[in-house]
Amino acid sequence: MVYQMVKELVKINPNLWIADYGDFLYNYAYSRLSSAELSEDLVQDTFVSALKSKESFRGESSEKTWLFSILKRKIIDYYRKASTKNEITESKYSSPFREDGLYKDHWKNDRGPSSWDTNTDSIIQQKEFQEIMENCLSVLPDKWKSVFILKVMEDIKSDKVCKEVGCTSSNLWVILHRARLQLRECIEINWINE
Amino acid sequence: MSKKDKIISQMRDGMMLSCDTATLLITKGEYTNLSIVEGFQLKLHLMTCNLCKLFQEQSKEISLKIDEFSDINNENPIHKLSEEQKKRLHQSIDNQ
Repeated sequence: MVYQMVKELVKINPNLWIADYGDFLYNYAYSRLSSAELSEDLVQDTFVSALKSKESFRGESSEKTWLFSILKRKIIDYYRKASTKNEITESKYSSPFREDGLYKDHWKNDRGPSSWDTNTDSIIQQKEFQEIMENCLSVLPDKWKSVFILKVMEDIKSDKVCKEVGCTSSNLWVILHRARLQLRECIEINWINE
Repeated sequence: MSKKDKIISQMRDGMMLSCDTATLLITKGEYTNLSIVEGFQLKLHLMTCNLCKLFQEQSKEISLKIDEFSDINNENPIHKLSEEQKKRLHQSIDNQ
């Protein structure tokens, strides 16, 4: 009887995957890839991989957690490949800090943070924020984006991130630092001061 | 830069972090523990630099907002599969 119940719990139901988890997986992928086409591809790959390895699903986690763990792996793979593509984009970065003078490495006059007068939280605001964040992320150099997604959004340990995208630990902080400076400024321009 | 300016800037840099370094430490500090010296230097800098303080507050807010929408338990997906996409996905599942 108990065995039957456990077996019942472990059972997976691919027919319901799209209805039950499709939008969640898709939105998760979209928030990290900023592309409908890519997100659909990775969700599809996730389902295909899951079907191939369904024998190994033992029900230690929920079906949802299991599918998400497969998708997460696909996202890491995607960014590992993306981060090796090119490195020349660095020159596009315009530092918000002064390059010389008495106040070298301090904020330029027109590039420092200004106060955000944000309204009350709501789902609409969250939706708007996510869209702007996706746009701001999509213009980052590939390597920066890879580091940012893996470290900040996937919450992967620093040494593992470096192993995936090929960087040193001090390098990682500089990349993350620049990515966050650029994102903050992009958000301020598009969200706060629109 | 005049000689006087140079001396002032060297003295200041010796005691105080630049905004570039301070904001780097703010980012680093969100994910790891800063060393005692780093932590002290950052605190000192933030006491006198409103822009970096603002940067710190806004960074926290951004991180919080990112956590909200990027979590696997986010119940409000803003991107949803279209009927066409669902059809294609169903096909690829059926083909397995």
